[in-house]
Amino acid sequence: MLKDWIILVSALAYLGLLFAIAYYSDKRSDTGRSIIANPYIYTLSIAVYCTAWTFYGSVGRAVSSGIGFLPVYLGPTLVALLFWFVLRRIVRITKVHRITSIADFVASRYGKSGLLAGLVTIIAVLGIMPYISIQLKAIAISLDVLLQYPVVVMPAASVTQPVWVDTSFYVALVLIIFAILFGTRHIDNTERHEGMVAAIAFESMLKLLAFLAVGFFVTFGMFNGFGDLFGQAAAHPELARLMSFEAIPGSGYIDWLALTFLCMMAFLFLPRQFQVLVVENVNEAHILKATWLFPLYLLIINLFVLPIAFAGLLLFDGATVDADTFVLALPMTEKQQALALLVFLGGLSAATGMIVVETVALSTMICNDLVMPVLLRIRFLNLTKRSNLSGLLLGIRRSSIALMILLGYLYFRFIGESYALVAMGLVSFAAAAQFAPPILLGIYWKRANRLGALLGLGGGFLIWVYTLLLPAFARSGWISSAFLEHGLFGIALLKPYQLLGIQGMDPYTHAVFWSMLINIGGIVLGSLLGRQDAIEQVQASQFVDIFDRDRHDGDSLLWRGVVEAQELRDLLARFIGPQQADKAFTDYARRQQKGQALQADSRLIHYTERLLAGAIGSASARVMVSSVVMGEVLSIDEVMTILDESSQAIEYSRRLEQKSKELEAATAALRKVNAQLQELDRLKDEFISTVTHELRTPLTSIRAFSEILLANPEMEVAQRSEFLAIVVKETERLTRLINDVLDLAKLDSGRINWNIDQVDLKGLVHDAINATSQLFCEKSIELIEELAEGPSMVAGDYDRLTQVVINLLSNAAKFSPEKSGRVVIRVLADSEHVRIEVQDNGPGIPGDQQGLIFEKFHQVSDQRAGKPKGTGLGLAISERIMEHHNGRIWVESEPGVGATFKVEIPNRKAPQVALSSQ
Amino acid sequence: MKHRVRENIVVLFIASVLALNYPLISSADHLLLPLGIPLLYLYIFLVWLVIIVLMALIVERKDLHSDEKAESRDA
Repeated sequence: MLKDWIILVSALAYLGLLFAIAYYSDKRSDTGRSIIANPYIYTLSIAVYCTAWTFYGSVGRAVSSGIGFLPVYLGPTLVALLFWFVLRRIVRITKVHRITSIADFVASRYGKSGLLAGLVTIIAVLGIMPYISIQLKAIAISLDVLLQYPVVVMPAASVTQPVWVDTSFYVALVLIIFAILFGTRHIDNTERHEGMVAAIAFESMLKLLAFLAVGFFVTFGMFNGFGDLFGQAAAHPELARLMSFEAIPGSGYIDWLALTFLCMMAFLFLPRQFQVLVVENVNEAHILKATWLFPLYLLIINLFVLPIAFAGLLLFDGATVDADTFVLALPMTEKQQALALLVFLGGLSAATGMIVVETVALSTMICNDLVMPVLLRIRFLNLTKRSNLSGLLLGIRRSSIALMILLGYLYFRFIGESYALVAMGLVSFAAAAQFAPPILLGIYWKRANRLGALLGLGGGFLIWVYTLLLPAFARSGWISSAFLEHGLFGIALLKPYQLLGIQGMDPYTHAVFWSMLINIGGIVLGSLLGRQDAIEQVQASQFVDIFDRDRHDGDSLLWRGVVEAQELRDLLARFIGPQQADKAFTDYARRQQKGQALQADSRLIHYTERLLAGAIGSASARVMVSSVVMGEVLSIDEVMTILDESSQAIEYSRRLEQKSKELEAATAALRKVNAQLQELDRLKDEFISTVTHELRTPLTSIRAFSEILLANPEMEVAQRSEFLAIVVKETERLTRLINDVLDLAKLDSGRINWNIDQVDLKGLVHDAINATSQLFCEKSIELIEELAEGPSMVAGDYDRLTQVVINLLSNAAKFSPEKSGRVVIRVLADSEHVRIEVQDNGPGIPGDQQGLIFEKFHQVSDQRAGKPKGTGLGLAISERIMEHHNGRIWVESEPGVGATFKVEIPNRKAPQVALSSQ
Repeated sequence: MKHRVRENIVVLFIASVLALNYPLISSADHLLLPLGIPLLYLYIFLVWLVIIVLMALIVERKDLHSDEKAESRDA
C-alpha cells in the first residue's frame, strides 16, 4: 500500500533535493566552475516549457481532439529552427543593455519607457495567472488522486469545499514558500540564477523519464506494443475519429495553423521562457545546439501521449475518470506503486519548475517595472535618498511571488474548474503572444516607435481581455454571460467569440486572429504616423544594429551632467550592496586607465545606469541616475547630429570626399610624372640626334680626306701628311666624343664607380695644370696660379675632380685669345667649402646663355671660332660630377671681358660623402 | 556564420512549415494503420524527426563550431 505519509514525505524530500542541487550549483558557480555552462543544461532548462500542462494536459487534449495537442510543440520546434537568427539577436541585446525581463526589453527598446514597462508587466501578470493556476490544479488533483490509492476516484471540485480542507490551497502555500526561498535568495545585478537553472534542468530530466516510464509501461506492459493498442482503438469508431483531422475543433486545418502560429509567437515571450532562453543564457554558442536538441526533447516527451490517451479511453470506457489524470490513473489501476509515485513526482517537477521560473521572472517585472517606478516617484517616501534599498527590493519581490501564486489559486478555485488544463494554458499563450509583435518588429525595424508599441500592445491586450478573459469570467458565473450569447449591449457584432460576425473558428483561433491583427496593425500604424524622440532613436538603432556596432555605449552620450564618482558608487551601493558596488567600480577602473582617479564622465554614469538597470530595471535606473546626475538630456537636434543615421551618412560621404581628393592628388602626381617622362623621352631623342650629328661631322671629314688620299696616290708628301694629320685629329675628336657620351650615360644611370677618398685640391689643381700646360703653351696664354693658404682637403673622387678641372682649364684655353690670353686659377677655402675658380679673358658668355651651357651639346655660338671646339659635353659631365660631390658649378661672366667658372665642394669628411654615393 | 548555413536553415524552416500544414499534411489524413500506427501520427512524427536530424546536420559541423567560438571571442 502506498501510505499517505510516504507520498507527502517523498514530495517534500524531492523539493529538498532541488534545493540541494541549486545550492551545489551556486557554490560551484562562485568558485568559477559552473555546472550549467554547457548546451545540454541550457536545452534542459528550456524544457521548462513542458509544464504540468504537457505532463497531464496533453493526454487530456488528445482525448478530445486527437493530434490537436501537437501544435503546442510543433510551433516551438519551428521557432527553434530560427533560434540562431532571432534568439541570438535578443540574447545579444539583452546582455549589452543588461536587460532582465520582457518588460525591461520592450521598455528599453522604445526609449526606456516606464509606461510600456508597466503595461507589459500588467499583461504578463494577468495573462500568466491562468497558467499558474493550471499548475496548482495539476498538483492538487494528482495529489488527491494519488492519496486515494489504489482506488481511482476523481476529487471534488475545490470551490465546493472550505478553503482549509482544499488541498490546492496548501499546495499553493508550500509553493509560495518554495518559490520565495528559491528565487529571491539575493539580489544580483544580472538577475541570473545558476542554482535555479541547474534545478530546472534536473526537473526536466525527471519529468521526461517519468513520462517515458508511463508510456513504456502502458504501451508494452498493459498492451502488446503500438500495433495492438492502436489496433484496438481503431476498432471503436469514436476513437478512430481521433486519428484524423476531424477531431480538431473548429475548422480543422485553419485552427491547426492558428494554434501553431500562436505557440510560435508565445514560445519565446512567455516570461519563464524569456528567463531561461535569454536572461539565463551563459554563452551564445549554446543556442546552436539547442536548435535541434530542444525539438528532440519535445518529440520524445510527446511520443507516448496518444498511446496513453487511447489506453485510458479503452480501459476507463466512460466519464468516471478525467482524461487529465490518465497519466497517473493508468499505473494506479495496475497497482504500480513506484511508477505512480514517480509519475506524481514527474508532474510535481513539471509544475514546480514552471512556477518557480515564472514567478521569479514576474516578480522581477512587478518589482522593477511596476512597484519601484511608482515608489521612486512618490516624493514623501524619499526613496532616492534611502541608504540601503536591497532589503526593500527583496521584500517587494517576495510579496509579488506570493501574490502571483495566490492569484493563480483564486483563478483556479473560481474559474479554472470549468476548463481543461490545455484550454487554460491557451488563454495564457494568447496573452504572451501579444509581446511578439513589439519585440520582433522592434529588433528588425528601426522605425517602430513607442506610440506604435503602446497602441499595438494595448489594443491586442484589450482584445485578449474581451475575447478570452471576460468569457472565462462569464462562464464561471462571475459576470453575466449575456454578452457571450448576444454581444455587448446586445450588439451581435460584438459577440466575444464572433467579432464582426466572423464565425467558424474556435475561440482561441478567433482571439489570436483579432488580437494579432490589432496588435501588429497598431504598431505599424503608430510607427508610421508617430515620431521618435531622441532616446527612442538611439535605442532603436542600437537594438536593430546590435551586430553591426563596435561600441554599444552610444546612449552614454545622452548624459551630460556633473556628478562625483563617489555619488554614483553610493547610489549603486544602495541597490546592490556596498561590496558589490565597490567591486563593480574597481573592475571598471581596471578596465579604464590604470592608476587614475575615477572620472565621473558620461561613460561611468552610463555604466552605473546599466548596473542599476540589472537590479531595478532600465526605466527605474534612469530615474535614479537622473536624481543624482544634475544633468540634462541632450536636445533632439544635438543627439541627431551625434547619433542619427544622417550623421553616419555625413561621415560616410566625408570619407568618400576625402578618398576622391586623395585620388585627385594621386592623379595629379601621376600626370606630373608622366609629363616628366615625356620630357625625358623628348630629351633622349634630342640627345641621340645630337650625338649622331656630332659623330657624323668628324666622320664626314675623315671619310672625305681618306677618299682624297685614296684617289690621289700621286699626291705630294707634304699635302698628304697634312691630310693625314686632319684624319688623326678628327679620329681623336671622335674618340673623345664617344668617351664623353659614355661618361655621361654612366653618370646619368648611376652605374659609375666612385672612388671616394681624401683629396688635396691644391695638388689636384697642380696636376691638372701640368696636364693642360701644352694647350696654353701652344696659344701662348699666360696661366697664373693663386693658391690660398689653409687646408684644401675634400672628400671626393680624384680622377673625376681632375676631369672637371682639366675641362675648365681646356675651355679657358680654347676661348682665350692667342698671345694676349690670360687665365687665372685660384683655390680658395672658407670654413665650409673649398672653391676653385678659373678666370679667362675670352669673349665671355651672355647672361641668357649662362644657364644653358651646362646642358648637353650646348655650345656658345661663336661666330669667330667658326666651328665648335669641344664635344659640348664637358660642362654637362662636370656638373653631374659636382652634383655627386654635393658641390656646385656655375659661371659668372661679363660679355667681352671674360668668364669665371667656379666650382665649390663642401669641406667635409670622406665617409659622409661616401654615404651619399650609395 | 557562413551564408550557406543561414540559407540552409531558412530553407529547412520553410519546408517544415509547408510539410506540417495544409495541404501537404492532408495527404496523410486517412484511416490507415501502416506498421500498426495511424498514418497521420506516423507522418507527423516522421516529418518532425527528419526536421530535427536535418537541423542537427546543418549546425553540427566542426568548422561551424570553431567559427562560432572565434566569433564569440571577438564579441
